[in-house]
Amino acid sequence: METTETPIEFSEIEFAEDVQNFISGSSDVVFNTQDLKKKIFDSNCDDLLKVTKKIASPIKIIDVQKVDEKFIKENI
Amino acid sequence: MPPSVNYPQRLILDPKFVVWLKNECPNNSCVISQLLKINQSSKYHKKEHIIMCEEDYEQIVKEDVIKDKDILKGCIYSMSFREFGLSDEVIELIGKKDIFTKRILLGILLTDEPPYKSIILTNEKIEDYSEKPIFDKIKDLSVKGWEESITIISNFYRIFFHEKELSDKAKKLDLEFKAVEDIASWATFQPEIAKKDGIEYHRKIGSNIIYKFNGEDFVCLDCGSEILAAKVAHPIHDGPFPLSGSGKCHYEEAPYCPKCEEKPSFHGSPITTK
Repeated sequence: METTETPIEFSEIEFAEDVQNFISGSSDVVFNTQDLKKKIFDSNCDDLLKVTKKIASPIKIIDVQKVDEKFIKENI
Repeated sequence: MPPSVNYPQRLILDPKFVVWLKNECPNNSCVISQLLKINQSSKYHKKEHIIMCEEDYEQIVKEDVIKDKDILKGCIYSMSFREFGLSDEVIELIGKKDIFTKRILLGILLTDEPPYKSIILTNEKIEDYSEKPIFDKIKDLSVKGWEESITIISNFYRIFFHEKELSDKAKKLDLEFKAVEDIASWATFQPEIAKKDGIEYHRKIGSNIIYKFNGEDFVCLDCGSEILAAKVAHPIHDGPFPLSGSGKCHYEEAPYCPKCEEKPSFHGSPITTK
């Protein structure tokens, strides 16, 4: 019997470099839109990014937001 | 490259401090941004440097103190006493204690691992902690009110920023460090070496403090200070029983920058001969 896994969606705040390394080291990552990939790789390595992913096979990156003081002010 | 920083203390936040930070701290978004960077860049406890008791964490989540839970999760790690490998009986005993004692106990347990010191940042009365009998016994745990807490966070951020500058400097030089093979695992100084334009650079594996050889001496690439050597004693465990020895030591000269680094401890790791 075939089973289908429900993808788990979660977000996490990390340094851009950690996200870049994760993507570079994994062949199993796709992007909702290509500009998300550009946004990640255009970020300075010590910028903080909030990355929302769907954990399935492949891992799908569905949103990327830069976590700067403006973002924090609006979201706390 | 974001730095990997050896911060001098673990930080424990209590809910009143977080509520104060959110509602009353005038530059709260800046402080929260600093907390995020500190927590993400800790060398020994990446994403787990800034701690909150699980019970406290659940409370501030329930009370919706910080709207975006990912910001909260990025700044603060919710820690359970179970993570310390305590027995069920001990966990049950801790469960019966008041919340101040629980936070103190958490701080004490954290002093068992690097950096062996912890601070509770609070907006409660300091006496609520300091008057607990258990508090007196621990010298590596302290409690700070919001004013000092903000200074501590700001100082930690300065360390982060300084390490970032060092890391950027090394990146600009484009040095390719290679670990030196055949260094004993007990040695305090585990070196990496890079060579560029005929100049040799040394550093401890993974460190941002780089020693440049100027033809005569090693100097710190950041501050220019001459690199000094600290004597480190490694006891030789050559006796018939585990951890026993004849009292002999091997002495190592471990380099350090007197301005940018702490002097290595005289008490080095033991050398086991069997």
